[in-house]
Amino acid sequence: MKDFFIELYSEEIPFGLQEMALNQMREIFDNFWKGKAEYSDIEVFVTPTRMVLHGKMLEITNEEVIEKRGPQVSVPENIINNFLKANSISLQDCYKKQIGNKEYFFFKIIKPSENVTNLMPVFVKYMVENFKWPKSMRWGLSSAKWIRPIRNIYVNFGGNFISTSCFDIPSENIIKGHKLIGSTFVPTFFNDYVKKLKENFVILSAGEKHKKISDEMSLYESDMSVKILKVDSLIKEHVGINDYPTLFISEFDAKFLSLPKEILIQFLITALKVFPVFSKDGDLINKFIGVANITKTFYPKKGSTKFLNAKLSDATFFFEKDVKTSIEELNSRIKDINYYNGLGSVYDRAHRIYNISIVLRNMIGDDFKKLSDEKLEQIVSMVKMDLGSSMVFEYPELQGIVGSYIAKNNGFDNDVVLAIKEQYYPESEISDFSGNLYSIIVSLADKVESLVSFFNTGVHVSGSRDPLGLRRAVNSIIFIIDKFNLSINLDNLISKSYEILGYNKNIDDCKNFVLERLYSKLYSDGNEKTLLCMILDSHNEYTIPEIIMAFNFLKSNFDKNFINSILVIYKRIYNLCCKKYTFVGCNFAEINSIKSVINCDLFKTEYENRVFNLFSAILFDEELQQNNINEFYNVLLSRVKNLVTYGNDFFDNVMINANDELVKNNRLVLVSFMRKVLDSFLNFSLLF
Amino acid sequence: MFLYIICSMTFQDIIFTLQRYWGDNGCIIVVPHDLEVGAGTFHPKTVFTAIGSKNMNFAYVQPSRRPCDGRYGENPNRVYRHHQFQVVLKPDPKNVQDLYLKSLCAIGIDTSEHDIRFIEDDWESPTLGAKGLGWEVWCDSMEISQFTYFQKFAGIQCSPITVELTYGLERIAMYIQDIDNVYDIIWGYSGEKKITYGDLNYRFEKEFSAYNFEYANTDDLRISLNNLGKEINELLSVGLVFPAYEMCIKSSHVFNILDARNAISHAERTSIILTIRDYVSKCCALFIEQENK
Repeated sequence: MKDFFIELYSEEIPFGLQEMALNQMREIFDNFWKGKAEYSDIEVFVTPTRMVLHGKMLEITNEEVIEKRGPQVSVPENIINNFLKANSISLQDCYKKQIGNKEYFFFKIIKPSENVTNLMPVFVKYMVENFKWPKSMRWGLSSAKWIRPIRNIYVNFGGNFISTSCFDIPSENIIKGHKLIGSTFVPTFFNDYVKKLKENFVILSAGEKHKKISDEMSLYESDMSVKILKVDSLIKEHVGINDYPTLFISEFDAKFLSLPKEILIQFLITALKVFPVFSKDGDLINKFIGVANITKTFYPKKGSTKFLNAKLSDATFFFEKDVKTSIEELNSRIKDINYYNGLGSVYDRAHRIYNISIVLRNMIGDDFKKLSDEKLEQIVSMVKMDLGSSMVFEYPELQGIVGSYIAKNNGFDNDVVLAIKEQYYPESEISDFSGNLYSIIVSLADKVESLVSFFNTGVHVSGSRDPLGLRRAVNSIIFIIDKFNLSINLDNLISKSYEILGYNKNIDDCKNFVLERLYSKLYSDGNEKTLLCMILDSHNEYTIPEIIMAFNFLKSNFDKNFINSILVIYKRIYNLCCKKYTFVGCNFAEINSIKSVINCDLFKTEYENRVFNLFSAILFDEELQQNNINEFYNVLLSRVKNLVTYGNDFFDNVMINANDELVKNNRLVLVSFMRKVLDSFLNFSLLF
Repeated sequence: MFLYIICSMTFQDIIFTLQRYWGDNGCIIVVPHDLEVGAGTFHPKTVFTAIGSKNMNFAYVQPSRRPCDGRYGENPNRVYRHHQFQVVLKPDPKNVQDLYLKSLCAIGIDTSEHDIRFIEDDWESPTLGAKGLGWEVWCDSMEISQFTYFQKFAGIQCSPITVELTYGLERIAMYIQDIDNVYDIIWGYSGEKKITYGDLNYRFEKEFSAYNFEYANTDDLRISLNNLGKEINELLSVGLVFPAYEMCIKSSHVFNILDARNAISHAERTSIILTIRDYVSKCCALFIEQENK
């Protein structure tokens, strides 16, 4: 196999799209090359200005042989001659073959396959044409569309440069290093490319950049006896926007420490993208860690301080103005802020959040039922007020935190302040979530309102497009419900929310969307999705935590051998009973009712008796009446193992299609009963 | 070739240097537009070049007024009227980033010694109906320029693409001169006498902040907005694109003052913005129609 790599060198790719770019590059590569060539060890990289594919590929040597049919052998000579002339062949090139009762002339065309060298430019064009960016742009006179202008395409196969011709995009045998401090070079193979990139201040691997940042943070911490707040999402962002991330420490004017600590921390991280620093005792100090895209040798620190102080000065100005603004004034402003077409203002939204919080309170456990209406109303009447503040207008990432300070300033109690602050949990990862019950309800209600309201307006989420952040909202809903073990059933949640808001659209789209998110959260392959479907199909009444628990249990205990053994017996049952016997009027909670449809007097063998007794006993098994999900499935699986063993014995030793019609029908009903019993606990047919 | 002299550049030196640099790189240096605009992008040359059929490169200084940003001369970083240096290139050259980086070197920012970044910042102007993809350019964590490839203007697809580079002159000057207060920027020297930004603009800032936040007559401004709308329609009906467009610029500025006076509700804001955008779209559509004739 030969080494190959491809570099698309462009202007800066937005950080938020880099992960998507990685996945798509890989997918497009597989779509193009599968079936065309053998390849292995594929890696993909994205840096601020590069998208790189690397791997090994075998040169294509296969020929394609195409057989072409000519006229029948018996036709006049002139027709045969015309055929030979049209295909530039002679009679010696042909052979005869019988098709049906006629004989025809055939000849073969041997087509040499395209080799990798010729296909690489075709692949590059294919990639540029088929790549789906959420936003793409045109540039200059080119007809190409890409996230940012592509300035060079470099392809290397087996150590040789391959020029491409793609939408007039330059393709030169040159690689540019760091835009400001690097030089250009000509690579040989991929390892050489990576090495020379690094010599020119570009680190290709995200993992290596991440480690560099972490190591430098640890060094600062030990050298200066400080603690740095290591925000994972911010580290990832710096990995994505820097070719050569280098940390530096600087400071801001100490007077800004008078800003509320949480606002200052949030501001440093989200608005200024620097890491706050704490003393060993845990106090926030007027220092910060910044990340520059340049080596230590070059970087001077004065700019950051100036810039930071200017921004903090602005922040202070806005904050002081906002805490002096009345809650009524802020709420009157949000009455004028349109939330979404057809969904009224932000103020209207807050009212809907209140209604849903009441639904949730009544639905979840007893602890939540104690939450007071009055306090919920207080919280929700202020929960979005900071969207009318200057601070949040300038720095939207501070919403929630600013509102909580305004509430605190106005003398509201801790429950109210926390609930306003934590309404965006778990998206805001900065502070530790308090677990306050009001916070849980309001945070959940906020996201449920988004979900049901948007679905009711007919919004669709498809492919990579999710402009309203509904996937993120549902992921958060599932996360909160699971984390706090809230007894919320999905059907109830959506239908009651629709009801209280007066929505009349069918809930199925909304429900299926949530289920898709649940699938994505829980499983990583198709088999696991089947497990989840089995649970949902049989237990629509389960709460979301129960679904998750059941899934996790089955995932760990439902091994391949067991699944295979169930498939064997299920297949046997299904072959005989592909149309389910309906058991109309049969009450499965009463043994006599079951016996009224399955006549035990017609059993001719001990196998029928045993199977009937085992399968009906399981319906009354007290250990399967319990609420503990893990215990339930533990017992169920052990019972099912038994059923499978004796079920197979039954099929091995009993002739279902007996001569006696009554016995035969009774046996078929018994087989249907076996299926009914199995399905009532778990829809095993989905394994099929 | 002009030798770029890099000492501690005054404000006017920065302007002269940028003018000379871009002049040497194919730009025509035009004059600022002589109406109140919120950004250089409103300059008729920028708008009609972006949507028109002629390729052109030009550059200019543009004083830009944003009533909401006024701080009575008391904030060291924010002013009502700041100055942008605009460069408009159509079509965008292949080496546009290199050209930009070299322009920074020309004004004394050695790009090999500073952390220069292109941070995603797609730009949109609701009143112009304009959209572009591009970046904020950061120098040592401070935003100093906007870099935008216009894709659409007034709903019209741009072709070929125009790139606009906007330098924030006050920011750059404060950085180069190592100044913490905008009013301390050295604008230039009159003989031996140092003339600062504050000398030229402090009173202007103070009085206009008072006007924008306290004294602007909102009733008269509303009447003016209505009258401008009528005039735009009349001018468009007789095919006068540039006068109609200038009325749009005036409307935009009146709107900004009303906004600073808190005289517009959020609902009204949307409606006024859409109205102005509609007028701008009509001006642009008429311009294209006339070009095609």
